[in-house]
Amino acid sequence: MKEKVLEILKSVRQDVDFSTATALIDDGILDSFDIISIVSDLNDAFDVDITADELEPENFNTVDAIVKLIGSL
Amino acid sequence: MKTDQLILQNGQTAACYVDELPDKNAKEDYISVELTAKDRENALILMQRGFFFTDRCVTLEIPLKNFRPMLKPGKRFSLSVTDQWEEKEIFQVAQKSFGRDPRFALDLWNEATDLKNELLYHFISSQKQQGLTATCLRREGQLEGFNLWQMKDGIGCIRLGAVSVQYQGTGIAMALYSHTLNSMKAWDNPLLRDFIAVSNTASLNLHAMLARCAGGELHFGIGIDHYLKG
Repeated sequence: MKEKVLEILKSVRQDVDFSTATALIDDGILDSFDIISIVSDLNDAFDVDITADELEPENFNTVDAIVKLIGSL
Repeated sequence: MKTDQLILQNGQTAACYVDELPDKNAKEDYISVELTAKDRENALILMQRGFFFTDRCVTLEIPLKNFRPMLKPGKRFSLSVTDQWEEKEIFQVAQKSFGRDPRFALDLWNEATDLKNELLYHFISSQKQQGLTATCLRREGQLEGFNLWQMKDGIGCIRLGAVSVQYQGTGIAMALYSHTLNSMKAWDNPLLRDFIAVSNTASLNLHAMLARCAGGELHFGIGIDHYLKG
């Protein structure tokens, strides 16, 4: 799952090293447009329904956090 | 609002209006002028007369017939559409935004924040008087975002929209705007026509994403430049 998440993230922002980033939201690396693009792709790829409830920084700050979020849905 | 005309080059007139703020303690009146983006001759005249360029707005259209809402509110957030909205509640969320909006951008003056807020409150009140509808995003009853919008002959326009500071940049506005656009689908062949400042990249990106949800069609219209003089 992590590889697929990384692939999605890379497709949205090729300029970011997601494997080492630890504060994607808190440091403003991803903006709202990036987040919505990622959410849309994650919904399609994993057949999940991410809602506004899940749009908290701690769910999107790292790749592992995103993987954990997908696993919890 | 008292309307006036400003005579420009070769006897042309610009759409000019002089706002009288309802608050008697208002610091001063101001003059707002809109020019088409290509009208450089008159732009120069305005600058020579002491006007400041604030921003350029573009007209943006999205056909909504095939719009599919994205991002559900979830359990903690709720979305509602109402004509019974409170000006003060909307203002509380709005006042932390629009620092660079050409309609209220008066940061060239020293007393910018106070005057901007007066103009913003005046604008919200005027939308209330015009009977605009509000889409409200709430979390545990607290207003966290809003759209003030209207539909006329199947053409929808979001006159003002914002989310509270803590949710800016999170993407949550997508749930709010999606709900508004989906509500507009109650009309036949609905079309969204918004005016967006070109410096407002967050709003431009948001509309690009909304267009994607509507099938990908996005049309840009003529640019309008805003000038202000205090």
